[in-house]
Amino acid sequence: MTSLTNLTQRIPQRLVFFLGKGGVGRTTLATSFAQACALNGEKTLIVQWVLQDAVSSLFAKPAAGHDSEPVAPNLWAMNFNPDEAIREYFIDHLKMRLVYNLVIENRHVQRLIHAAPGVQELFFLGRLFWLVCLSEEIRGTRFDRVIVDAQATGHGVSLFTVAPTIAQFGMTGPLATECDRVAKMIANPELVGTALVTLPEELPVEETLEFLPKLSRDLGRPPNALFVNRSLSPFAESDRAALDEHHVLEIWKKRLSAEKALRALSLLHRDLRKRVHFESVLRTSVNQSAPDLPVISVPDIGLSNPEAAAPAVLQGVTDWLLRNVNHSSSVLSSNVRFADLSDEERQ
Amino acid sequence: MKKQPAKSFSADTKAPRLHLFLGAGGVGKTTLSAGFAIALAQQGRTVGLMSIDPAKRLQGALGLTELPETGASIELANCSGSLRASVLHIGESLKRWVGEAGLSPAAQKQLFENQLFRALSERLATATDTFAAVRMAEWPERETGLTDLVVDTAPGIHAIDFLSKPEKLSAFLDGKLIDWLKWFAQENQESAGLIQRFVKGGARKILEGLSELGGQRFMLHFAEFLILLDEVFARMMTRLEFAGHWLRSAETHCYIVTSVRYDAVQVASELSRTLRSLKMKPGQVIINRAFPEELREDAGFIETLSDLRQQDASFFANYLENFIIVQRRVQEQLGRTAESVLTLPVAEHLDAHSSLRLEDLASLGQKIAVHSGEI
Repeated sequence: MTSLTNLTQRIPQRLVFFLGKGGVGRTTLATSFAQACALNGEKTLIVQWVLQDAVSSLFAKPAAGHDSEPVAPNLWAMNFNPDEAIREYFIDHLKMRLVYNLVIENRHVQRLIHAAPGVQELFFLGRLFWLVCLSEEIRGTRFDRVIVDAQATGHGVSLFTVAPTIAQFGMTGPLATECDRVAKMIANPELVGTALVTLPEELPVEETLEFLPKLSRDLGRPPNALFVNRSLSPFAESDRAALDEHHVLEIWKKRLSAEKALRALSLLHRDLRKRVHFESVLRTSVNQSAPDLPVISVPDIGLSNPEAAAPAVLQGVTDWLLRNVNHSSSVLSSNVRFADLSDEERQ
Repeated sequence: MKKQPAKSFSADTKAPRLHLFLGAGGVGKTTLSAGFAIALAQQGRTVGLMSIDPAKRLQGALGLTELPETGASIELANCSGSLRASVLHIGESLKRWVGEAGLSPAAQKQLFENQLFRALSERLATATDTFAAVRMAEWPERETGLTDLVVDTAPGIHAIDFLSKPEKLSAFLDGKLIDWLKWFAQENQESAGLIQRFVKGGARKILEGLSELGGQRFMLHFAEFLILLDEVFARMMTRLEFAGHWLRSAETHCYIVTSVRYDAVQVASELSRTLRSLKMKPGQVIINRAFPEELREDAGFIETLSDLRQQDASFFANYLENFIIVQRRVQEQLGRTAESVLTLPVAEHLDAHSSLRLEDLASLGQKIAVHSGEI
């Protein structure tokens, strides 16, 4: 149980954004963290903004809409819908039904809302503000944790600049108030935390290293943690001979002679070493540029259980998080050996 | 808003072929789209390549450290066609469009200082999705004789924004709100005169309502922004209209790129669903960097796996077995929904060398082009 407390204490804020590009396993990590919070007794909501809710199905529940639906004990899911959020904002929050019916629902104003960059993002943040700061007072419901499975990296960070940007347009009235309080919420380090998710691959590592200073600048503080999903390092640690190209080459050369087969195996082995290599590159860089940022390597669960479907992978990740995130610094040492990579690759 | 007559794309002129590459981040979409573009150019075609955020390695392979927004010619050996590549920088494109619309230097200065314009060109990342289609549709205007445009889209479901924005943006530009706001601005400059009388009662109420929500000052900023961009928007409308037709053309081909990993199926089927809902043709699926099929059942390979396990390398054996199982699942599930599935085996892949080479890129692109009947 100590490990569980450790993880949720490392990311103590009530509103936590999980950020990362599509395909890095952001939803899995966000949901695992939410599940860990729920198991810790915290009433937790996971918020997505996607075409189709991908979280509920992991708990064998039908897709959730704009309203939160329970998916497990202490755990709820919702999928943000900008049109509904705008309606709620004007009718329920501002009590401006007339303005809503006459102005917002007007065909031409609707076209503006759907075309103008930033408008839907502002209402997304407004909805999060409502969930974190207002719903207790208004509805009598309080979530101890709101976990946001945010969009791709570039868009995730623009989410944090959208309110201050719009605030510069010289607005007054309710929209100005909305921008202002949303910007204040984002700027509050006690309230809002972020976790980055990446993969031990060339492009995601390159992007993460470029994104880190941008995020720290736009948010005014570094993220709470960096998760390396589908890491192979934990396996590499215990099975080092498998990374030795010459050792492995000797083995397969005995059985295989076709050049194509040897080339395929050699490339796949290179992939394996590259994954270990890029994770090490990431750790070394982060260690230099942000020594306080914990880098948490989440092992590739599928590797030990290749037939596992998505819910089993999620469960595996959550179990692993609960068992292992109990060190004060990085979870794994960075001195993982990566034999026989050429100097060129090391750079 | 007044539309400009479409210059290059009247109904009777044949538009160049559009090839869209879609897929999750890091699956090799940008690399494959570049290879595909090179392969087409080698067939003697005049090809454009529009990338979003390419890795430094790819820019290096194309012989350019910084690809410009307007595009640069790529030197290709033994090539009868041509290739022009660009990277999407919407802020720079917007500024160029302003210059091309013939705004006076004073108006340009005023626009570049307008907060809304600055946010749009510098700070709002979603502006990229909004205007990418305009940049795409502009390409054939800038390059006469273009036969093919290859577009690498934003990762994952962000491609959807790109695919659906042309309609949303042109609906707004074509709507009445812009005209109302312009009247509003002129009214406030006390030069309303005649125009004022045309503002209908309903429109006035909407403007008053908007003023109540965001304040009059903001409305004036917004109106100024719209007036200054009037000419730019007029050109945009023509391009957006073309982009919409182009995306839905029977000639347009989508490639959904996936790699061998668990989420491949989910992202690929979400993209297929989107293409259907936008009434676009279903895409062809490419499974990138796959395990060679024939090796799966090879006796020598199966023995190798057990040897690896016996000689302290079971980690690699597990990795391979896992790879094969996930690949089989990806193939089965995608095979049920996709128009066709092309598996590109890792053995024929281009990363045997530590740097990308143009000829490797081209041979990979050629496989895609042959499979889709492009060559």
